Amino acid sequence: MVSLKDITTIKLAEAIKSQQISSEQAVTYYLSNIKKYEHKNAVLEVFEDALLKAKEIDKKIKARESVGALAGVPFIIKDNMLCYGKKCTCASKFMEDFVSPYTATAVDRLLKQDAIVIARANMDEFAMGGSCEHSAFGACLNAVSDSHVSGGSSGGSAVAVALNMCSFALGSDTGGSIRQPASFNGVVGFKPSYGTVSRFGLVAFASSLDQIGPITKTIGDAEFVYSFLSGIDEHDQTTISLPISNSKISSLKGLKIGIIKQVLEIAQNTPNYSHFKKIIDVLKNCGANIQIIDMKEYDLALPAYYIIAPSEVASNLGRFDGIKYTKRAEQAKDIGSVYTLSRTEGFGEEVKRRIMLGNFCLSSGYYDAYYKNAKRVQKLLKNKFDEVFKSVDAIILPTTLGGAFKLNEKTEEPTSMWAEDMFTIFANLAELPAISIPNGKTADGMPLGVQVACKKLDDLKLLKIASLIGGVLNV
Amino acid sequence: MAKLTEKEISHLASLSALSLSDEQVKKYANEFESILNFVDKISKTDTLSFDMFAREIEFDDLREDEQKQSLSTSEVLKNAPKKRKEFFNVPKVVE
Repeated sequence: MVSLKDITTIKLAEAIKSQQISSEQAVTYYLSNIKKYEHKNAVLEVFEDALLKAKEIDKKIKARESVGALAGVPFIIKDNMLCYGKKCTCASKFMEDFVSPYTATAVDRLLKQDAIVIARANMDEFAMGGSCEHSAFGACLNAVSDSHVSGGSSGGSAVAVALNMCSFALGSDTGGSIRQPASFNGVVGFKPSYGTVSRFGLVAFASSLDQIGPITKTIGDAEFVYSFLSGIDEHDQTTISLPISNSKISSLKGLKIGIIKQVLEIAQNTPNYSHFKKIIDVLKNCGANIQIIDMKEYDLALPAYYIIAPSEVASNLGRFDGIKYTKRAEQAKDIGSVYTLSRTEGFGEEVKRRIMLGNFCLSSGYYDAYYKNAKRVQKLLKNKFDEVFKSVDAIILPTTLGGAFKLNEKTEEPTSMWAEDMFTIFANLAELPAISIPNGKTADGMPLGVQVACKKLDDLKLLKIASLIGGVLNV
Repeated sequence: MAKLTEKEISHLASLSALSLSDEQVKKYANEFESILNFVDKISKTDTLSFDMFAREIEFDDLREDEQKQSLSTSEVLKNAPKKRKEFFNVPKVVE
């Protein structure tokens, strides 16, 4: 009998297909863990039809009918992805009763491989936040500690994978929202190159930065799931196909790995720097060629992001007007109050803060100094990273400043929460693929991660390098 | 600079179609001081030599403009808080 505890997606798919285990058993196992860890608040809703779907797949496999590569494999989606006929709330009061009229392409691609979506995961409202405390339906707690945050915004997805509520989950990453919670909960989180996974059916946060990706137990699983997620979609014009990998990398020996000097200077002052330094020493011992890269513009990434993302939010969330999406303030009498009262009741604090900041950055008199300059800084950073990847194969950096912080520790001062994105935002601004893999624990037992990033569209090369690094770290 | 008055906060709220209590206006005015300090480096960076709209993705591969099936009216209206027949129902907007 195959043990389901900590099973990888690849092994689970094989075991179900070869009838060593049934999909029904797998779904039952994961649902029992969702129930067991209910207090973590990782899952907002279990989909009632999951067991029925599992039985159907089992029947097909028994009858030797042809089935997809993920036949009977259960997975969980972040609650900002549409799945036809099921609720999608973005963890917002505004969308509390919204029922998806179609299915997101990324989800659909997995369903076409006969995977089974079993639940929707908690998140920061409209994916804005780094702790999952901004969910309108309560915070999601860290997988290893009830007094620490799960990270965010894909906190529920990361906790679900860490606590065996599924073998993999989907998250979305606009400024670190897959990688940071993966790091905080000791799992793998992969943000692909911008455009390689369709955003159709993902509720928009900042469209030029949003990217769907997998949260998994292993790097191999990230690659496996990504192979189904990626591809051109006629419904998302920014999608691009991944070039065929011609990378012949087979060992760390001679591999050129960069460390950004400005990242190093920040990291050196964090309490868990020794964990990062240890990896560098290991990589050096394996024959990797470590290079320090001076990028004085790195410090501009964080402020540029907190201008561009809120500006896009202010526009994207304009569609929530009290007319189209389920919620309208009861007492609204005229059209103006339909807009204003519905939005005032529907949106949470952090969402309102970012809408207002976005409208400030876009308003006349400030547009040139803020939004336009931020977009130019983004281009400058893209050029810098193009340069960097001419001389190195990959860059390596910590995923976060430290382990998961305590609940309510950073909710009072918004910018202290925003500064948490220090090491993740560059990948979104420069459209790069980046992955966070587990790298030990803090003194008080909270998981830490290390991040690797490559040139845009070198996703497969990145996964290869990450798996080599993971190999020496035992991930 | 890098500070917004309570009046400016109220104006931003109205641009955002949000209504704030007096207490919230005070709170946001305080917060925006640290928020604007947080992003202010950008407004002081000289980047004029960069094209703000430059993107790596090429948009030359445009599809034909053809009619395709999309969501039905009833599906689109399914999530509307108020509807009448095949329309969204809103308060009267013209006198």
